[in-house]
Amino acid sequence: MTTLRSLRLAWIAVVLALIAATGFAWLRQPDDDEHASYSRHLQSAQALDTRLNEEVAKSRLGIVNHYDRLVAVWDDIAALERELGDTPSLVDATGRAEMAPRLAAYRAALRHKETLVESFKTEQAVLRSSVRAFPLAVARARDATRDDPAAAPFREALTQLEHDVMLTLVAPSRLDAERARCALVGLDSPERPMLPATLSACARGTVAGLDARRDLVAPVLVHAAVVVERQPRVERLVSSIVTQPVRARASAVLESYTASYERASASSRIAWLLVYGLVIAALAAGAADIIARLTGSKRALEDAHTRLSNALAELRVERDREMELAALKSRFVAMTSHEFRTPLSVILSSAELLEAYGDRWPREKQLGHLRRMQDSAKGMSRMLDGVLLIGRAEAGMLELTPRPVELHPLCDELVEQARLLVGSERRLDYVNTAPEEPVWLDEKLLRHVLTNLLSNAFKYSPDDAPVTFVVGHKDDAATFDIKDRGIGIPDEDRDRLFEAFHRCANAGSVPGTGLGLAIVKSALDVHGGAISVQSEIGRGTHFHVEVPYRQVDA
Amino acid sequence: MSAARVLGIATVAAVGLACTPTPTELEQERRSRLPDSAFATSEDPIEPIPTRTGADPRKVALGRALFSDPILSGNGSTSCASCHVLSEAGIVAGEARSTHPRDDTGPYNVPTVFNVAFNARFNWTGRFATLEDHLRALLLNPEVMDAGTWEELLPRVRRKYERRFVEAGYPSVSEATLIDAIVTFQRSLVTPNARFDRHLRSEEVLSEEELEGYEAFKSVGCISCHQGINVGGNVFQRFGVMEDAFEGRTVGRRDMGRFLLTGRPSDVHVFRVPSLRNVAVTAPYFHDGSARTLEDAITRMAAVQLGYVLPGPQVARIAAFLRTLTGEYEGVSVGESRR
Ligand code: HEC
Ligand code: HEC
Repeated sequence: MTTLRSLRLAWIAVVLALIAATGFAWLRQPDDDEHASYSRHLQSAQALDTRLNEEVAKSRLGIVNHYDRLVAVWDDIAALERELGDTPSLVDATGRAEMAPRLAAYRAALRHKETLVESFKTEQAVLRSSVRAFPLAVARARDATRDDPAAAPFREALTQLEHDVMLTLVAPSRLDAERARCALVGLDSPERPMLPATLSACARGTVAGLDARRDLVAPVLVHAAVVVERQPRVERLVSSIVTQPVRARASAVLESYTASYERASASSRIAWLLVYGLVIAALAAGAADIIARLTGSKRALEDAHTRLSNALAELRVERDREMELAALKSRFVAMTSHEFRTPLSVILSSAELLEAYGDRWPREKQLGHLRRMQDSAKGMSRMLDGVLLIGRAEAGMLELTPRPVELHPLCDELVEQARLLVGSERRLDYVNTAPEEPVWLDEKLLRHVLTNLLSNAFKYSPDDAPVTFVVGHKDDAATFDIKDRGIGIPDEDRDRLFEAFHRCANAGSVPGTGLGLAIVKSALDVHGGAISVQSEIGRGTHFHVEVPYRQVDA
Repeated sequence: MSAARVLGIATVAAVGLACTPTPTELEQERRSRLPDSAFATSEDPIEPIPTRTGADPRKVALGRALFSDPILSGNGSTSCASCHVLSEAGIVAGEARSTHPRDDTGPYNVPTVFNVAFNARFNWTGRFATLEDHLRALLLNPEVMDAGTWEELLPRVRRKYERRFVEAGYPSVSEATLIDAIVTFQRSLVTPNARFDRHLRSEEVLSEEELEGYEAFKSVGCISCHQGINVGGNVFQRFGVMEDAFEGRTVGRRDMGRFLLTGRPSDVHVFRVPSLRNVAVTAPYFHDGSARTLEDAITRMAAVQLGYVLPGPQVARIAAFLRTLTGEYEGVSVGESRR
């Protein structure tokens, strides 16, 4: 039963652990959805960076001539950046610590790139407007001086400048840019000393006769300056934009994120393994529990079975006893009818005889019959007493009422009585070693025991065989030994010796009610005493009785 | 892996796919907001405004009510519509500056709220990257709406609008839903069907002068800054690339432009290039409202941004072109009162 309980407890513990572990594993379980979207974001962060570069390039090359698409891509990047801010819950502290600087680096690159892109748009816009405006301004200046032959060098200078400026656009080599810049600021260039001087002079309005052209030259120079200055700047911006390590940093973030994910899913795998282990344990424990319960119930079944068969056996015994009781009753009836009929018939016949012949009989004879009638009636009443005593004892109605009893006078009196009954010619050896002082006993019950045993001893032994009666004591009990040298008790009768109305097979014609020993037994049972018997057929019988003193508490 | 988990993940994934916009979806959504041709190698640097916004009409109606309700303001007398009068092209017609007394940066010219959805950044200096951020700051800004705190503002709105929010499909009145309602409304403030857009869609033929104006606008170089669907609004530029735009005037704090935000010397006088949509009806011009007429603005632009002294007829042509950029809001030409 206890193993069953502990098994069940273990099972409950396993189930609880399972729930806990499942919860834990569930918590540790990387949220696949979250993971999918985060890693997708990290990947698109890289893809969008490429798209941004593409848009910048397209814009730079004039393939796209507005910035809406660049803005749209940038908005996506900004949205993504916000998304990337929420690191997935699956990333542990180490992962976070590792990712944080990388994310910060990614952000820094983005911020830098953002400024670069904004500058690019700004510079590119200005550059583009000048790239458009410059040739127009040149053409206007050229057209305005077309009819003036003196302006031929001026026109040539314009053409040269246009060529140089355009060259910086097409082939932005260092040399061309340098030369053009020199030209614009009016410095002497070893290659083209004339042009810049002329132009800058024009611009400054210091060349005689060219004053009127100042308004024509100014826009040319302004736009040329924009192109020459901003062209390399835009170029630098584009290359800075493209080389911004955004992609690399996004992939660094992805890398450490992936590492955390691997860790998280590994630890969750372990947690899940634990869960599976516990599931198996729970199943095993459950199975063991079930088996234990089954065996338990088998045992219970067996228990029930034995209890049932015991009950059955008891029932059978009961039935047997009942049957015996029935037999006993019928025997009782038979016996009592027999035992009572004899004295009754004695009484009846004596009464009839007295009625018929009483007047004619002498007084002696009349008295003899009357005495016989009285004896029979007394015997009947004794028998009735015995039967009632046994009945009361069996019904548990016989009460023990101990009183201080002096064993010597009591036993002396009993011996006296016996002698009176059997006649003085019968030998009775009587020894009394009981304590002189009174002991607590139920005197009435004791009288039943001893009178019956003594009368039996005489009844079932020859007239010349002596009977011994020894009274002693042992610890807190009085002992009585009654020995005869009579017919003895057959072995087959031993078991039922103390049953009411049972008479031994060799009892023969010895008159008796079969109640004596039953009364002895009942009385002793009520008193808590014991009786044992030793007997040999033809040699005699020895009853040993012990009756405990029943000190009644004050 | 347990079947239940797989199932769970599958469900979550399916629901997630259905609900959360992925970057590509965002991109597609954005693309769909832009006309298709924007993604072909386009010759035209200006795109027409789409005729539909696809916004939830219930939310737009709610946002409109909030937009003109002074309970949003701390003093209970100012609404968005106080400065952005929809029947006056989203500004206060003719007013050069925001009249708000406590604006210590110096009052800015009120920009229109029409077509804000197509701007890349908001306000003259481009301080805000999203309309949500802009509105959030604006509501609590003591210089503008002065709504107090959210704890003060939301109960006011809730008392009056709780039911309407629910009817508009919001769970309740909250910071997020209030912002969303107003921003949704602002995004719906688009003005399609400008004559120029109809020209781009080949639905209308512009006059000779207008077409010449467009050509001049492109060839002179205005187009390099004023381009895209909003004819501006997507790039920063110094006010005064070629010449000092503030020559002969005292330069105030507000004239410093983005420098106020970044502190970089290169950002001095740098502003977001404004959209030229509906420009003909949103005078005065520039961040300080210093140009009273369109012609004035064009002339100054040409000079300070492009280093040109534009001849009068050219200015007139460009002005004629710019007038074709006036669109319609709810079927009525912007700036024309419904009355
Ligand atoms: C006191 C006048 C005033 C009020 C009231 C006002 N605004 Fe403005 N609004 C302005 C000014 C001035 C600017 C430009 C500010 C700047 O650039 O710093 C502006 C800018 C904006 C912009 C940016 C436009 C663009 O293209 O950058 C939006 C959008 C806007 N306001 C919406 C609103 C909304 C919504 C409300 C109501 C919650 C509102 N405004 C209330 C004066 C006002
Ligand atoms: C280098 C870029 C650039 C170029 C080129 C450019 N603009 Fe502008 N434009 C701006 C900026 C920046 C502003 C805003 C200035 C301010 O508000 O202080 C502006 C403002 C305007 C405005 C006023 C808009 C408003 O609502 O206040 C008009 C009109 C305008 N530009 C027209 C033109 C025209 C016409 C051209 C061509 C001649 C042109 N722009 C060329 C950058 C440019």
